[in-house]
Amino acid sequence: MVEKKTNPLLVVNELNKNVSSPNGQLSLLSDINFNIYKAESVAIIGPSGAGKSTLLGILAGLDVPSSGKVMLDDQDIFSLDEDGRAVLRGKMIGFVFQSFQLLPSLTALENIMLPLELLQMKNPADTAHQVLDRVGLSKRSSHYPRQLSGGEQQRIAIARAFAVQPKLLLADEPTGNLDKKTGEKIIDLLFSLNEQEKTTLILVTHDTGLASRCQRNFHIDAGKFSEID
Amino acid sequence: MRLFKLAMQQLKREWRSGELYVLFFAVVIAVAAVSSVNFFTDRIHRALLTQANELLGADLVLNSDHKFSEYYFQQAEQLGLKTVRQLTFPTMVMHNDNSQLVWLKAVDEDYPLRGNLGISQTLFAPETTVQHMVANNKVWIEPRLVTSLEINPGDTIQLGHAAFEIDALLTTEPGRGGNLFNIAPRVLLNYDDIQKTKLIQPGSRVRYALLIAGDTAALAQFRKLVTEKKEAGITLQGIQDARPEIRVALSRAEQFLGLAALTSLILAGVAIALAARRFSQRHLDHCAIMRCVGATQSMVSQLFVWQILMLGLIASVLGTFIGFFSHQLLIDFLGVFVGVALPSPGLLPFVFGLLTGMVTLAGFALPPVFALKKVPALRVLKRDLGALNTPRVLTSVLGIAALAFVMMIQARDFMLGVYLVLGVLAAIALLALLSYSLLFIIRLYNHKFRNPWLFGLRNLTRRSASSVVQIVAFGLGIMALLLLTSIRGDLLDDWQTSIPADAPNRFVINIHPSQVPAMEDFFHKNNVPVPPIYPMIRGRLVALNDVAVSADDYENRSAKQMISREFNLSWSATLAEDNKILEGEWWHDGAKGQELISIEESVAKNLNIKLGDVVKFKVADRFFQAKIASIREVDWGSFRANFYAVTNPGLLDDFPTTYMTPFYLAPERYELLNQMVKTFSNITVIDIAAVIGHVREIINRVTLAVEYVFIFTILSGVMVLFAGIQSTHDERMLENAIIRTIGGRKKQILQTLIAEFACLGIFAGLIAAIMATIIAMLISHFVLKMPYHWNVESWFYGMLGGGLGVGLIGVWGSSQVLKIPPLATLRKISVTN
Repeated sequence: MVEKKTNPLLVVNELNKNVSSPNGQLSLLSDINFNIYKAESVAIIGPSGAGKSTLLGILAGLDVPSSGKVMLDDQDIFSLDEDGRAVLRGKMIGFVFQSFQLLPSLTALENIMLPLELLQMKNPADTAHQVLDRVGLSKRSSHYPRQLSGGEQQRIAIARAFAVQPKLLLADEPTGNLDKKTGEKIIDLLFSLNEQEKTTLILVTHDTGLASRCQRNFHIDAGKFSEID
Repeated sequence: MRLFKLAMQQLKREWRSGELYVLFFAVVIAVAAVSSVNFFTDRIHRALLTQANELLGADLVLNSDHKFSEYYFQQAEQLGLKTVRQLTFPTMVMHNDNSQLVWLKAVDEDYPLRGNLGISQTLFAPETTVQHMVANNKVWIEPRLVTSLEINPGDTIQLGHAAFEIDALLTTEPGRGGNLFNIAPRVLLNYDDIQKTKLIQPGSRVRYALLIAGDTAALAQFRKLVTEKKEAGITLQGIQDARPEIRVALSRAEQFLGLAALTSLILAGVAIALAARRFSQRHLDHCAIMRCVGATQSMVSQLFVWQILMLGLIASVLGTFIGFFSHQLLIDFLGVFVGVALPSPGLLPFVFGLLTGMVTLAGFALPPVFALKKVPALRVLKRDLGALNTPRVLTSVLGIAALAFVMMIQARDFMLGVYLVLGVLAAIALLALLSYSLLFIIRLYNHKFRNPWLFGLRNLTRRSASSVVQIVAFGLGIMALLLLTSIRGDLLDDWQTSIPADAPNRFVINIHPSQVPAMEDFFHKNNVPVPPIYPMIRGRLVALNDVAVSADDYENRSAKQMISREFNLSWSATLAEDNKILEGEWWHDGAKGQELISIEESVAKNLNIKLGDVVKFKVADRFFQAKIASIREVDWGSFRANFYAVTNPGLLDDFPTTYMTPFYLAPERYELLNQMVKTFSNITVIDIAAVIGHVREIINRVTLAVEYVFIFTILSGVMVLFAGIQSTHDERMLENAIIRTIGGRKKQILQTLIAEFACLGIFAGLIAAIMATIIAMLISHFVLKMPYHWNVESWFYGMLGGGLGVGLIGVWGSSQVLKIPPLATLRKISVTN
């Protein structure tokens, strides 16, 4: 159930991102405005180099816009310093990356426990075990990423993202490094967990088929942003 | 607190991954090296401090080269101090027809004032501690005389003109037991018995001592009186400076040991720097993800710093314990010099070990680790961001500063610490220069290397910075070992063989003037070429150009020593063959009646004496003056008798004189010495070969001890090698995965690896051999003053040892490259990239 109109989780206002280049200022993102509501699933699609990852980085507070505002749960994220944004991310945002981004020196369970430990939550191991079970990899808890297949690694990454029960889940090309069949299973898992947790999902992809599974689609191309009806 | 707990959990995980082994063991080895030396020196210093009374046999000792005046006895009595007279000198003991050089000690009844004597009745029998001295007409002898003279308690020995019964074997004597400085075995007798031996004549070399004990205030007062009296030839020894010969020798040994340990520390620093840099590079993604999921910069910083510090603490503790257990070897090598049981070590070496490990780790590891907090979270999306940009110069400067800090404390002397730092850095710079030059030459021929065996050489030049670091690291350790082995072996062997075959191998001293004709006759009758017999007069320099001189007038230590002690003076009509006039001229027959003296160049230089100066000497209670007629250069390595000061004939005729002669005696004629001692019971015969052997044993022990510590340097070099392999690990993995993908076989890759590491080791051995040879040449020329003979074997062993050692370790360390299938490697690197 989406709480529309009355309570946006994410509000983006007049967002611009420019960078210097040999030919002068280059506009990566230009005048972006949108709202995303709680429990919505949103896809941002566009060709390579369109600015999808740049936008995702700014929404997560990983990067700073040239101008504009991003409000996350009524908090202007760029009024916080970098550490403040890190704390906010820890509490509210989960990430799933194309390249999984698991720590090679940690086991599957320890990778999931990491954000819980950073938030100094109690019994991180118990919580991690539960989430691991939900992604169907309880038996692989003591395995290292190098001992897991691509699909399994991404499931661990998804488990890590959901472990902190985030309000917002950002997924950047989550199936980009997987074969089609595995990718589909991952997406099924992602959407299933999202449904259960009532998390707001923003999915960056160039796959229109994947995008069609989301409730709303946005298109970005050469920094220009628009919603697709 | 919770962050600390999290850091410890992460440390456990990091340890499992094996990423921290090099860092850890580099600290362990460095701390073990430094600690083993410090535990050893701590126990020695504590022995010298707490058992100084036992070393002295008293609370205070007055040493003199002449008999004490009544003044001292009276003062001591007035202050309520107990005194014991002591005199010692070398002499010959006879039993049946056998003679032996001994170090005779005659003391009063109350000896020792501190410590105990221990005696036994037979060899290896349990010792009995006694509080009394040996009775009159009896002696106690050191056990080794039992075997050398085949005597036992109950037998009689001849000392000069008197016979004494052997009452017991002397097993413990304050400050002596097992002391390696004592060439001749001890014979102990009662002071009252010395007169009847008639061994002491005017001019004899006898050391007089007055042992004193009492309460602290009275001792301080007595010390003050002696210092104020400033009588020439008298020195004080208290518990703070007991046994200076031991202190000086051990101080030298400590400096060498400290240098060896610090070299290990420097290499460990290099290994830590390489390993820490790699650790940080491998954790860039880790930090980015942590920042992504909620860690602040401060949290990231704390997490890694706590891990490094805890790792350092555990490694330092382990290293200190290893140092504690391994220092026993140093005790075995060098403890014999001290002569007392060594007390347990204190806490200071343990604390210093921890400090060493933590400071070294902090200096080399923290800069790259601190830089991790700056890794931006955006790196998770843009991998090109957040590269480690800690300037290597910063790491090097901080690391060197940390090392310098540790070195200054270790050296206990600021300037010495500076010299050590500069010396080791200079050696490293030279080795690096040689390494670069070698690699440069090889690079010129790179294009010709088509064989897998030679690909290894090419790899060395491609990774030249890393190669140079490893060559230098191993080169340092191998150089030290080659040099020390050379000193123990070749240099001393060459020095010994450089002595002419017929050079004097015996010195006879304490010949009475009346015995000279008989001595000449003795040689003649026994068909031994009659050697020159030289007069010897003991005198002290007391004035220069009518101005009184004392040790206080000179800064230079050698000058102070020359003024404080008596000279061995002589007279001669002719200039000795191995002497050369540098200034002035030798006297001719017409010089009779004049007062002329010729001095050796180092005396002139140290005491600032010039041609034409007038010097005044005191001999017994009389004086003479003489003008400096010439300054001579003396070949002290000739083993002939030479004197620092020689007068013209006639000047010293009326002064108490003994005679001495050096001569060569063929081994098959050694029994002649027993006859000589029997005929001339007051003489002392010194075996030069035994002295040389004794000196060699001391040098052997010291070099063995230093070599032992340099083994830690080799181990540190291994850590540098592993760190170097780790730092190029991904590059090697990718290279070899690609080579195998495009058709290269495992065997070819193995050949390349073997060639690369074996060459690394051979180059390290070669450069080490070059440096060791240069240093040995310098020692030969400037210290031993003899030509150097190049030892090709050392080059061979250096290169062979280096090639084998580094080759095996390097290939083993890189073996993962061969085990993992190429595709897995390519995928793994793709994933981590």
